[in-house]
Amino acid sequence: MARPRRHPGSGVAAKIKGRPNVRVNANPFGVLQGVGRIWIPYTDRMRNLTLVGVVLALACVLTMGHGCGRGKAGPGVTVLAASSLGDALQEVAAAFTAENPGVEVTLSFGASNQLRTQLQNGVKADVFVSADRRHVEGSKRVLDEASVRAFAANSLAVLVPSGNPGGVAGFRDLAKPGLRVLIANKAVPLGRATDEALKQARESAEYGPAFVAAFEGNVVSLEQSASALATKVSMGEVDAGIGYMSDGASTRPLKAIALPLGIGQRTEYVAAVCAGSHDGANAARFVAFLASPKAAEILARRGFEIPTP
Amino acid sequence: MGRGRASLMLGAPLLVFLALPVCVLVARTPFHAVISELASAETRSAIGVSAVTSAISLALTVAMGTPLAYWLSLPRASRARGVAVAEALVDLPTVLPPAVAGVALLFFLGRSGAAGGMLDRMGLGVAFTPAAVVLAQVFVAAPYYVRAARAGFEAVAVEVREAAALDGARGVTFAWRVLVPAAAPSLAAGAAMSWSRAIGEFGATMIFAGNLPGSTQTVPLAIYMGLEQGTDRPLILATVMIATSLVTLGGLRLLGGRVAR
Repeated sequence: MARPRRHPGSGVAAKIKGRPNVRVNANPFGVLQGVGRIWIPYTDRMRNLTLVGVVLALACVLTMGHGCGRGKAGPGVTVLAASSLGDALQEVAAAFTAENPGVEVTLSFGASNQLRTQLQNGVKADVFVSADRRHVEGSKRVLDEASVRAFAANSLAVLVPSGNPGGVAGFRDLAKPGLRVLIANKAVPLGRATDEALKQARESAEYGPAFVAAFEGNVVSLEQSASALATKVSMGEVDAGIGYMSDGASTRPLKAIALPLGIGQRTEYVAAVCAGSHDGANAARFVAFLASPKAAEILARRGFEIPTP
Repeated sequence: MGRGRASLMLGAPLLVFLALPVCVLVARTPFHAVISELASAETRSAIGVSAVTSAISLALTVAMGTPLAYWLSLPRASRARGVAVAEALVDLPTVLPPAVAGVALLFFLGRSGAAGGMLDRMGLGVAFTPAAVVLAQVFVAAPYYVRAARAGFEAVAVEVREAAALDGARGVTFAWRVLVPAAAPSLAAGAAMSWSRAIGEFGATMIFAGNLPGSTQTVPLAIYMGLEQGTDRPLILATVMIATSLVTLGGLRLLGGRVAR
């Protein structure tokens, strides 16, 4: 295998030629022979150093993949959370760490349906916070059923950018011709709730099918998460969007207008400990903290509704 | 103990890693459902949006990229600074994450953007329209064409250039009658590369053009959205894209054979 002079004609081979090849066959890393010859000046000592380096690098990669999967030392919980919880949950997590020193919380935001897909495909996480109970019910296999807990709710709202370029005063205006409106994709909890609200509007005497058709004609995109939608509205890229009341209390420059009575239902935030949690005790503590008065105070200030126990 | 055997042993895991995911995907595709799925309105509209937008973006890329590549390829006494800057600008989108490209396009051409505000007041707003899909594709894919075309132009032999000059061919005539035919295989290869990149565009499109079936939802977006709904559609669309890419790559190889002579 390890034949001397494997690069005839190249500059490298010319240099190798003058070297004695005595030790070549004794080298257990025969496969790496060529590598050593190409990479380093041709002394046996340096070649051995390279081999040591390669082995060390491999060892590092393997250990990292194994032991430090979460990328940090010490106790900690990784939380997969509905994107609409954004800033509020960051504040809740900070309060949790303040009460439980040393327990770091890593937040991973996404649309609940995408997070559910991640969970079902084996993502390493300790807590799942969904904006729709259905995604928790549908993930029972990977969740600790006894830990499931609803801790907050949200209502749909018409979001308008702070300048209100479309002159939108409420839900009814969303059917105005020429308006650009965003809604969420039906697979996302927000999109599903929006779909329900439009069904109610279609059946109501006040709005009816013509209103909904005009509204749907104004929709320019079906967004893939509540936070992506709120961001695009706040950038003023569209005239309005259907998001959550809590988006109006976030740091984004936008206004949330409540939907009319009888249109749109409350959505419920449900948390659960993941079955594969590495730190079940802290994960359970975090879920309990979400339902604590301290978290309720933060969430209420950020525009969420707190269910009465 | 054949030559290169050690390198193959070192490289084989990569080869297997590159091939297996695609093979598994194709293997999981329910082929019995392909016909019915391709006949469904959603699938057809996604393929239609992708086909139309990528064709327009390719036309724009070739129309403007060819002169740009020609200018970049002009023989110069010394490396002019302007050329170096232009080269960097052309290469930039190929190293940008597509999400960055999408945000940049939105900041520039969105309604609250630098140029977009003016366009919007004239009723020419492009964000969240099929035009945005085309622009996103041109932004991320055109560099591949410009690079290949430039290399093709530069490879045209000095003898050919001199002979053409002796015969009195200059400027546009020279470019059109001599350079373009001589560099045709490179231009075609660049166009194929650029088109493949455009048709696969996802990140910039999602941010800048949004996702509306029949208007801005391209095949990659439909695959992403469909994954959540647990249907066969994403698998079938993915297989369609793989087939398209294979055909494109096959075409490129044929061209490559001609380029290498």
